[in-house]
This record gives sequence, structure tokens and C-alpha cells, in this order.
Amino acid sequence: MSLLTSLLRMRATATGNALRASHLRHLHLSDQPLMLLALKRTGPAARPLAVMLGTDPYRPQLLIAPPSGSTTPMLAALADTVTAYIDACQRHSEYLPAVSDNKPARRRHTDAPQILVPNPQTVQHLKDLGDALRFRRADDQNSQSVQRLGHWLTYLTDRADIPGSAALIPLTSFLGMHWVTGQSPQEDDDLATLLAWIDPPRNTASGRDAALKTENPATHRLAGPATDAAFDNDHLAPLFDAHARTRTQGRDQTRTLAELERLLAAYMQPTWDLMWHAYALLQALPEATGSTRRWDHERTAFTDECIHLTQDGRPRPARDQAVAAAVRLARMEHAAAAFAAERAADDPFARAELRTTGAAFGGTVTVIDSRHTLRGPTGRPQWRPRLIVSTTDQLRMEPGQPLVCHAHRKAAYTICDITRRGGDTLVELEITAGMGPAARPNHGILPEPGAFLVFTIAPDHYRMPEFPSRDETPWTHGGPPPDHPDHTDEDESDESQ
Amino acid sequence: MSSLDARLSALRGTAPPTPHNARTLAALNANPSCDRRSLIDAAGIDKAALAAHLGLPQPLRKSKLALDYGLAFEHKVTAQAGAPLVPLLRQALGLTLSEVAYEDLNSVGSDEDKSPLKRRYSRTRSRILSAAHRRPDLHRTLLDHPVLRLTVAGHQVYLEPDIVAFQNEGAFYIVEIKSFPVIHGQPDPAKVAAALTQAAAYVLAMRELLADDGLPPERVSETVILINPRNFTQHPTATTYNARQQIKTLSRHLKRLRRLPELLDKLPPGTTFDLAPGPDKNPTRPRGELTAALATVQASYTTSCRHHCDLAFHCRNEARHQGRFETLGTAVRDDLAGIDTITTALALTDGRLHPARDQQDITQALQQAQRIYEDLQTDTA
Ligand code: SF4
Repeated sequence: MSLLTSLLRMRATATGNALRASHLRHLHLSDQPLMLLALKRTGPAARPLAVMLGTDPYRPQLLIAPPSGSTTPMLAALADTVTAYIDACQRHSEYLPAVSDNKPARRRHTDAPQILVPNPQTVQHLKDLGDALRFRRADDQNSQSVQRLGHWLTYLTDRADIPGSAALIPLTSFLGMHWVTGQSPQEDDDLATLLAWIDPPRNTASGRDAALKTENPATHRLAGPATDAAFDNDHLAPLFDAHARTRTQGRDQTRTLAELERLLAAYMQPTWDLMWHAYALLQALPEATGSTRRWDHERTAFTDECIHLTQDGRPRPARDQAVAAAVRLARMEHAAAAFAAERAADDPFARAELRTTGAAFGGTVTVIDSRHTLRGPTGRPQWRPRLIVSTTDQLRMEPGQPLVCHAHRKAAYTICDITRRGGDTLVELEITAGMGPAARPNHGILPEPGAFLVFTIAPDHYRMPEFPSRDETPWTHGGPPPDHPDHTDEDESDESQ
Repeated sequence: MSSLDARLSALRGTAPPTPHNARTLAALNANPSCDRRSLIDAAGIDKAALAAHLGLPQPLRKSKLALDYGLAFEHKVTAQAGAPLVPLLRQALGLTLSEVAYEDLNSVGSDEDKSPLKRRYSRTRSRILSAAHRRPDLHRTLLDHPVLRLTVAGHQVYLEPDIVAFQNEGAFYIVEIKSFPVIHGQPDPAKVAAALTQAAAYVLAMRELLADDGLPPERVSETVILINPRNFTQHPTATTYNARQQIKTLSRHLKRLRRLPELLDKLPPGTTFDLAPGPDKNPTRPRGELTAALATVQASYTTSCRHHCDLAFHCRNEARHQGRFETLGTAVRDDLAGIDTITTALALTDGRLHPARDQQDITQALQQAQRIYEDLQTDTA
């Protein structure tokens, strides 16, 4: 968080209404996302209680796990819906011509799955569920599809860890990227109060009032995967007991099961509606340029996973072996840096944040020296135009700092000199890339005098660190590492180019 | 009854005291600077009842399903005289005895016994002391559901750890059975931290017991063993942790509780949190009076209060009215260190207030942030 967000949080508290933190949406939003609301059973690590899901807000599918006994039939039904959704994304593919020797021509699916869940806790629950299911023995049709569901859940929850990925998105985090409320980030984790702040119902005076109303213990419910203690004690536990009684008495259990279904449907419906409400709000935001590109990579990753499944298909190990874990970490760091850089290029708000943290400054171009040249190593003159930018931002940079600018994305700049004059700072910059050779200069690179520009610290050139190859490292966890040398997420390794 | 006791029970009023337990002691670690909580806990006031009377959400309410599940797991682990437990502990602690003796102290004392805790405590005490004094091969090795005693602010508080294990080389270990899972060797770190803080209270209580008998308190190990379900099964697994940090902080906070008389001195005369239950047992105390009484003791609200204190929503409302940064989370609080309230911060930003000398830097930064934000609205950036 930056000081700017802190300031906005304070303003939101003072006014009682949330503030927009960005006018652009930084994640792709599918026209047909699979909305998924999951409840887990209180107690066991990953026993589902119910899942409400679907692509149609008005016709959700509700799957219920019985209070006791096998969850396989329920999970098989869940697997059917999820797999059918994922299969539909594989229907069409496009041809990508070769780019270079190590990027040969290939095909890529034109769509990729997008699952929306209420909160980060649900992502964790799906991760646990994936872990629990993908090692299940697959001896019949049902358990085979359950195993496959486990595989997909692992893939999707892995993607959810990667900044900028849009395969599995917790809605509270998604909304939090675009609005700042007057409550704490911990409270923002609750979908109901977060939405109340952002889009209060008409009859409430402010977002704060609406949020207070939604906290009323009589009507508030958690958006999963945990259920409220009050719901457990007052409704679920008695029904489970009744179910157990009919079981021991050998009576028909359909009635208690139907009752459980009614109970859960009523419990989940309000959150289901909130999820679609969140979707509508997010869909109304214009999509940032970078998010289209990131979605392209999402499709690449998805296509790779489909290939892996048909060619290899062994479950991923329970825990990444050391090298895989290191690769994964490096990839995540890189994705985070790339995502931040792209947001800065796309979004004035992101740039404003960087200005308050000192990673950028904004100012007016006062002088343009378009004739400045340097002698290159061969003695030939090189065109290196210079600018002077006057800023009132507190500058925390040194001469020699490489910079980039959103308005001229192909250009690169270096700070030559910094002079302070009263409250203003004059920064002299040299254009070091994008200006073309001296013989054919690209004059389009020069800004208009008087233009207001923001310069951000240039992102580091990324190089994936060298890791020992798979066969040179011992494996210690989860069985032999799946052997798929071609399976590199190329989307993560070429983002800074 | 000491005068301290008398003053505390006046605060509590007519309700019977709710003594400290491992969980309230753990909460002490979570928010040690809260005078309100220190005082209310010391007086044995039922915070849940207080919150219910004030009509607040109760984030700490326990699910029956969770309790049932926890109990079932515990029974499974301690079934057949601890048979599933013994190999786990043998491995975790290097117990070498081929036969590990097990004693369940749960059933000591009859139902009519007025003070089963006291009885179980003296039984535990004699078992532990005889194990500590006797030749190492003659003692009981596992005590199930022992009762320990810890002095908290001059009061004896009874605590019930799950298991105390005694090892050949003369060390005692606290063993806690927790029903949260360890998935592929990785438990939820927040839950582990909470469990270790509770265990720290048991370690301190054990040490008190040994020290009272002239035995070296260090014989109680700072290594704590947690027994959890493994992966997605109900099979137990044992993990050892070092609880040194938790033990250190808890004993420090316990020492601070000696300030209770000072806190009591600061209260206006006649202050009480009595709910004044009527003939039907329902509280009759006017809510306004109760909140006024609460306001006489300094609170220290943070966003994590809701994880350990029933009064969280009350203190949050109060903190919001006071414009405290803590209501917006730790990041905002840290960003604005040196300024007291949100109102002040905004007044400084808007130039309606002149910054004090040590507020100049942060004021300048805030004003810059504001200017940049305004640039955004006018679309120049
Ligand atoms: S909720 Fe209130 S009383 Fe409880 S610890 Fe927090 S500040 Fe103290």
C-alpha cells in the first residue's frame, strides 16, 4: 500500500463512501465466467458441504454433500460441470506462427477457463481440495472424473498465485484493486461489507451505513468456505443429528436431505447474488490494454496444461521439489514485476501511486534540446536528444537512473542532472532508446514543450535464473517429479521483452 | 478476600467469575497493551455476555460441529490408553521405553465433588512430583488431561493441557492435540502460533509447579508437541515446535498484570460492568451506562481484536468515533506514525492545521499525495 491509498482510505472513512482507485480493469473478465461459491464442512480439512456454481446468474446448480458417507457422487457431479466448462474452452484454437528457434509455431486455444470465487479463503479451500483429490485412486468412472477435477483445481489454484493471472480470481481482491473503502483491508475480505461500501443500496445514506447494516448478526453470513458458528449450531447441527437418527433407525433419509438442500440454498443465495453484483461492477470498468495481453498468456498456459494432461497426465507432486519450487518463486516474482510495470504504463492511478512512493515523478517539459549528440565508440555521432522536466514531486532519484515513460513506450531515458530551484526540481533527461539512428531520426519521440509527463523507474531486465535441470536434482517429496521437460510456462518467461 | 479481589468483584457485579484460561492468556499475548481487556479478564467478567447484551456480532462464538470434530479426534488419539499416541511421541521425543505408562486424570473426583479441578490438580501434582523425584524408569510417562495451576495477577488459575509427557532423561513436555490438519507437512501458521501461545501458558504453569517444590523449572522443555490430523485423514501426526518466544512474551505480559491496582485507581468511583440480571436472568443494565463504564478504561483496538476478543465490535465503533488509524489497518497506522487521528491527518493535508515540528515531513508527503491525486482528477497525469 502506498501513502496515496492510505490517504484515500482516510478520505473514504471521513466521507463514508468508497473511492475509485483506478478507472481501468486490470484483469480480463470473461463473458461467461464460471461463478463458484463453495462451503466446506466445519472440522475436516477438505470435506465439501455444498457448492453453488454456474455461468447463469439465474440458474445456479447446487450440489450438496451428504452429512455422512461418501462425497464421491457429489464431487463427480462437480467434476462434470467444471470439466464441461473447461472442455468448452478448448473447442477452438488459433495458429501462432514461429517467432524464433526456441519459439516454434504452435496452436493456442482461443479461450481459457475463468472461475470467480468470493474470497482468497475459497482459493485455499480449492487448493486443499485439489490436493486431496488428485491422488485418489481412479478405478471407476466417478473416481476418474474426481481425480481429473483434482488436477484442474491444482492447476487453477496455482495460477491464482501468479500476479496478473485471471484463471481463478477471488472477487474481494479483484474489487480491492479498483476501489478503496473506509474500513481495514481485513474487513475488505468480507464480500458483503466490501460491496456495501462500494455500491450501497439506494435507501442507505452512505457506504459506511450500508456496511454497518450488513454486519447485523441476524442477517450477515460468511461468503464461504467456512460457515458461521451460529448457522452451524442453530441449523446444521440439528439437521445432521436428525439425519443420523433416521440412519440408525433405518428410515428413509430423502426428507432430511431435501431439507438440507433447502437450507443451504437459502443460506447461499444472497452471497451468490452478491458475486454477480461484483461481476457487474467490474464488467462496467474499461479493460486496460495490458490485461488483453496477459489473457493471451493465460490461454497459452491453459493450452500447455491441456497438452500436459493428454500427453503425460500424471498428477503433480504433493509438494514441489526444491528446483520446481525455486522456479515457481522466480516466476511469481517476475510476474509481479511485469504486472506492476504494465499497470504503470496503462493506468494513471498506478503512476500516481508510484509518484507517492518515489518510484516515479511527474512534471512539465520545459526545454527540449533536439540537437544534442554523442560520439559513439566508433567515433560516429549518435543522436541523443535531451529534455528538462520541471517537477514539484519529492524526487528520490540519482543521476544515471534509467526511466521509462507511458506516453512514449518505445523510448528509454536516463537522468543526467538534477537541480533544485525553490520548490521545483529540474530534471535533465537524455533519450537513450527509441530515437532511431542519427541518419533516420524518429522525431515522434520528442514530446511537445509544456507537456505533462510521468517518468517511472525502468523495470529490471528480467532473466530467469539458471536452475539445475530436473534429472540433476534429487526428489524428496511426493514421488518422482512428473517428467515433462517441454512444459515451461512461456508466458512467464518472456514478459519483459 | 483481599482488597484487590473485592475491587475486582465489584467491577464484575453479581455474576459468578469466569476465570482466566489458556485462551484468555493467549489473547493477552495478542494485545498486551489493552488495559480494558486486562481489567475485564482479571475481574472474571463474561465478555461474551457483555457483547450479547450490547447487541454486537460475536466473532468468537464456537461452532458445535468444530467442537464435536475436535473431541472425536482427541478421543481417537487417546483411545486404548493412548495407543495411537505412544509411537508418535516415542518418535518425536525419543522415548525408549518399550511400554509407556498412561494415566487418564480426567475421571479423578466424583461428580458431586465441588472442586474437581482442585482435586485433579493435586492428583496431577503428586504424579508429576513423584515422576520428577523418582528413578527415571519407575514413573508414569503420559498424563492425559492433567490440571495445572498458574498464578495470574495474584490469582490461582487452573489450566488443562491435553497431555504431559515425561521423558527418560528427566524432561517434561507439553503435548497438545489440535484438530486442524497438517497438509503435506504444512499446518496453518496462524493456528500453530495460537496453539503455541496456549502451550506457553501450560509450560509456565508446569514450571511453577516444579519450582514450588524446589525442582529446577527448566526441566519443563520449551519444546512443545502438537498432534494434528495428517493430510485429509484422521490419522494423527506429531510435530515438535520450539515455543521459547511465546513463553518469554507470555511471562513478560503476566508480570505487567501486577499493575492492576494502578488501573483500578484510575477508575471513577462506583464503576461497574454488572449486567444486573433481573429475576428472569436477563440483563437489565441500561446499555448506555454500560458503554459509559467501558469508556472509563483505555482500550487499544487493532483489526485483529476480532480474532481474540468478544468486545471487538464495540471497541471498533469507539475507535472509529475517535478517528483512530487502527480502524484502517496496520499499513495506514504505520504510514501515519506521528499523527494522532484521521481528523488531524486530513486537516494537515488540507492545510487547515499547522504541522508540529516532527510532523513536517509526513505533512509534506501527504500534501504531495493529495496534489498528485488532484492531478488525476483533472486528467493531466
Ligand atoms: S476488543 Fe477492545 S477490549 Fe478487546 S482486546 Fe481489543 S481493544 Fe481490548
